[in-house]
Amino acid sequence: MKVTLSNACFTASLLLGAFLLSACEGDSNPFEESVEVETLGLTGLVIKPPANAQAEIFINPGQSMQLTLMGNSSVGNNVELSGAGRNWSSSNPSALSVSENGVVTGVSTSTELATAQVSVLIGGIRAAPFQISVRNADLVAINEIEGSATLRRCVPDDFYATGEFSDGTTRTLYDASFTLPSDSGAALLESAPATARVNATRVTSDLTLTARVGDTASLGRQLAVLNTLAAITITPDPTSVDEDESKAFVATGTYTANGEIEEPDTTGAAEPPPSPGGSSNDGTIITETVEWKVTSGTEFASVSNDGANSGQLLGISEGTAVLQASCGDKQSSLVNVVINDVTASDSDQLSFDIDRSDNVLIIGVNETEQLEVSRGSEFNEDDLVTDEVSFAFFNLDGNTVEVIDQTAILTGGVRGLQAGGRVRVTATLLDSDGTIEASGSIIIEVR
Amino acid sequence: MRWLIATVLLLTSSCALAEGRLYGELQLGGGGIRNSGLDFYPFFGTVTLGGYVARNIGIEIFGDSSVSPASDEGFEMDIEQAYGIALRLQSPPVNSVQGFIVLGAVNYTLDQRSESNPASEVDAINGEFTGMRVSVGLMQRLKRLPGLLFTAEYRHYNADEPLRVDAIVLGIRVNSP
Repeated sequence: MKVTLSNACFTASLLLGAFLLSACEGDSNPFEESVEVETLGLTGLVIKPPANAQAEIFINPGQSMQLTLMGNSSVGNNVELSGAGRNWSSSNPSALSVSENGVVTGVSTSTELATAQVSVLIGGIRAAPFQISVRNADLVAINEIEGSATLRRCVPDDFYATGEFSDGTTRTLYDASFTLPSDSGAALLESAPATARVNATRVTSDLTLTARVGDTASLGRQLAVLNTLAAITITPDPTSVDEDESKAFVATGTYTANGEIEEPDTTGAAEPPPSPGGSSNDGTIITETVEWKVTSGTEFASVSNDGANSGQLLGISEGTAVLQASCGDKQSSLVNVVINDVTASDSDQLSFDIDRSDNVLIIGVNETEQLEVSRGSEFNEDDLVTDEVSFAFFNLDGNTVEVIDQTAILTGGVRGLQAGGRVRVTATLLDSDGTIEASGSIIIEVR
Repeated sequence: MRWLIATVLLLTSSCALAEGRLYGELQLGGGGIRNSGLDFYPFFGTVTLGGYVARNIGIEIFGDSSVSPASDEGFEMDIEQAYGIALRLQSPPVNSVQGFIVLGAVNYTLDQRSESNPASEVDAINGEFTGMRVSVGLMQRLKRLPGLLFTAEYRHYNADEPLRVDAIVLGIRVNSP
């Protein structure tokens, strides 16, 4: 085969070009962080330890811990920031390393105390140093598990363990595993590291929670389950769903104030809720911890029990289904749900004026937006009912902070407060008898 | 990176001389850059010099320079400069029109500053990115001036980072006899 000069040059250039193509370099972080700092109006950064950390933090060599970030904004809000891909630094890398995602790891293997200051730089703002000490010490004993002594049914509570170490320090046990008796009728839900989230549902007696690290176990912590759940209310009620559409239902628990200890119960399901259509602000939202079930008409509808999607009912075909939310075998609630043919009237639905088809409104921190609501399954600005509906909301994803302004939302005003938070907002239109004429809901994500 | 580009330049010029046909191009581009939800559309000028190493296959070097920065939401973004090498693959002409694809390596520098605090060193970010260039386009030979061609292309600079540059580029190209 004849090799020409052109062919040789061409091949060589291709090889060099291919080499160059594989050498991607650059760092977009400073560009993004500069915008982030100005958009959020950040004036300071605070490094936060994991939940339940002790005032002074000690870790062993090889042990890791995730640090998180909070930003102080110029308008006085605290903003949760992602710690991933940041410019983290340790003042003493031979004692403590820190990854670009804010995971610190003890390096020093000495039994002598070594300390390091961890910091992070974002868009020219440096966080105040956060001290972590590293010393190799053995776990001597696990203290009594920390947390509330009582549980309300279907309201999860968090528990954590601390231990005494051979160097005389008390440390939160981030590698502890927790156990409940398998037949207790309570569930250990997923939770943050070192935290056990206990949801009591079918509990018939006190619970015993135990923590363990390696061969060391804690004494059992007795948890009393209170018989204070008086009723469960499902909203909206009554309602309808179109075929192939889904609707989010909310379960609200009404709890009595007395602390009566729950007795074993074998009476089965209780009576239906006392106030159909009641406001979700009157009780405790337990949508994600109750058990949802379609008790009749399973050919017409199905319902999810999957985390944040709990209570999402999907219309399968035209008919009537009965939806149940129950917490164990003591309390439950039933609602009739009519599954409409898609050609049927949509007069019992309300729609929001948002662009996205997935019914999610995205709003920035400190941004304000006014919700507009109309009748029907599609938003229609000629049929507005914004001033006639009542708005209710609840936090998704287990957030307990104020994600949106809780006063403004009562009149349909949305103001984002907590980045990363999500809330579901429900609009309800009542007729003159006080029964629900139409309803609709959206999810608001604050970024 | 730079010594490699220099090597390729040397190789390119040797190859181009071997084939005997050179070309040059002057272009004006409107770029699009997205950063953290902000969209910037700065303008830049670009110069290309190359040579054919085979029929409809060329190797070229190119350089970009800022014409005007762009603003969005209180920030200003500029394509300060870019340079690189590329392989050009052209289709045979049909009615004096040729399609082309350009594949290459690029080094580009972006400059971002806050308009509310332009003097702040903290808010002024200058970053250099190295990655690949991909272009597709058309060129039309001018009937009265056969050595000149009008070109239009879509260009993409990708450095495996969110800060990528997309651009529509228009220009005039000169082929040596």
